[in-house]
Amino acid sequence: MSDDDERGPYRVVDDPVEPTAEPIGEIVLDGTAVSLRPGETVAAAMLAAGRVGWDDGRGAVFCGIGVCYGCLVTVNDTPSIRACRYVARPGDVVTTAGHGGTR
Amino acid sequence: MIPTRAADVVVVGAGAAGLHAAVQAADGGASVLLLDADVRPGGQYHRQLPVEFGAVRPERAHHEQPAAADLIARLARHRRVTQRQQVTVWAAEPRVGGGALLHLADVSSGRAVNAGVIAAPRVVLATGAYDRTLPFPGSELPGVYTPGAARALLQGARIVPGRRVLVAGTGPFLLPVAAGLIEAGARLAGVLEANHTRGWVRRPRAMALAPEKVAEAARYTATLTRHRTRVRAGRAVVAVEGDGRVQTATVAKLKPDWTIVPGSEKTIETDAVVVGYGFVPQLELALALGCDTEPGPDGSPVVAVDDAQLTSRPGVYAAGELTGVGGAVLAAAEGALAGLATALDLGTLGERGHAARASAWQGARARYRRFADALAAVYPVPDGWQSWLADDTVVCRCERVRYGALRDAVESGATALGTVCAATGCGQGRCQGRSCGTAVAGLTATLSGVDGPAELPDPLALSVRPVDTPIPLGELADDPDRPE
Repeated sequence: MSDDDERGPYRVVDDPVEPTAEPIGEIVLDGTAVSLRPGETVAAAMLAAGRVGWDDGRGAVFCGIGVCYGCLVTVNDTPSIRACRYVARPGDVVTTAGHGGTR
Repeated sequence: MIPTRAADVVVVGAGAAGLHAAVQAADGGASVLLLDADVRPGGQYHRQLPVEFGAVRPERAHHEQPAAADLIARLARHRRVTQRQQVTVWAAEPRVGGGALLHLADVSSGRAVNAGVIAAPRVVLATGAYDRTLPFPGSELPGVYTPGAARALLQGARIVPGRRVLVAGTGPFLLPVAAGLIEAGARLAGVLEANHTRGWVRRPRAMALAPEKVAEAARYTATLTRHRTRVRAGRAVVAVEGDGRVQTATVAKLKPDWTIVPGSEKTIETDAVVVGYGFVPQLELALALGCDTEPGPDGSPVVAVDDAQLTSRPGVYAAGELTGVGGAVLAAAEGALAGLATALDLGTLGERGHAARASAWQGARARYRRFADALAAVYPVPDGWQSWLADDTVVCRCERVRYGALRDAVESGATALGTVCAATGCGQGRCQGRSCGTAVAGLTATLSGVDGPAELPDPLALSVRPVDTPIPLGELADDPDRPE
């Protein structure tokens, strides 16, 4: 999308909580490397990278607390991981196609 | 490793209620196992930043942070408390002699991995609540979030969901969400309260019950005012539009019954719509254990408890939102009283010690239960939202069931929730009806002409979940052990 700069989620700028941690690496999101801060869930890293909707045309963060199962992704070939609950590790390979459709 | 020999008291959930239950039970002499599904203790209200962020001023993320952080630190050092994070209770059954057998799963890998069964002679259920959502045209689009999601992203990850965030719904919880976003530098497209109210803070009786909350609400309002934002009452997001994600929202003025004032619809630009209509208590473990329910402050079912927070089942206590949504102060008081009651039952805390410790919490509980009733009266969810729906509006997000299909099922003779769900697929998907349950029950009641969901033949059909968390069948083939 061409207007991504004006649209979508972002990490807090000049954060009043004054985080000191630097990014600890990257995860591979649908083939593209995105940066990862320590302690971040897959959902947080995806949103910080501007990814709002998943490649299956359905998935997205909705409840954010593990209730709705709307943010399922595949991590390192394991399907049906709740992106909002799983704390990412550098090098994790995340794909967002394939969770649409029934169940 | 999770101990298969359980403690004197097992507390399920480390939010406001569970944290207080654990510390009071342990201070009263009981050994306590505190289980929580999240990465860090705190629950939704006291959500903590990851320590890995190295935040110099973590308290700025949350006005309540220092007190909760102190309690969490105290529990971590308590010699009678064992804490397990990222462990979920995926099923529960009554234990002979009282309490429960709890089937545990480790969810740290993002999936549920069977972690065996423990015997809990006394269990405190403190499973909390999640956002109540209502469907509207476009509500399944990416870019629509619950207030809980916005808060979890902000408090737990320091992420703002959009460049122009629209906050909408009903209830006092919208204020801290909006204020938190503003304090983090977010631009708001508006804050809409669906009810025609200037808020509970204008109600002297409610204010007298909850002076702590008056001060908290005043801080949030001051933050909004400083940023020239105010809550606009009697308005709601009635649709969102966009190509694959939210790009615009239709907002409208509402009549008191929540039907749309004709001609009042306006389209506004937004890329993140944060919308919620109160909270749904997580009843499934209590229902699995056979605990009786009763109508809560807003009329929807909650777990019935006595003065000691004991449910109708021996050795099964409940505290916090699942006994009636009332916020973190009430949850803390109920949790503390449940914890003290377990120590009294165990015999490590005597009658006099119990009475001395319980009295202040009992006063707070009484006050905040009346406050919860007042809030429910100020922020009702009348049925008029159902008129926002079109035939093709997605009602069940998991199975993509549309309103027209639900109506057809009821018109074809389905009147019980179970029948409607079997016919349409509503509530049969991976969330097991958590997201759509309130809406499907409300719509089914209206379409079948009964006076509210409580009058349906099976009002709890979308609250019962024998398997609370999806667990791969292969995980169950190898049951590590089964005590007793």
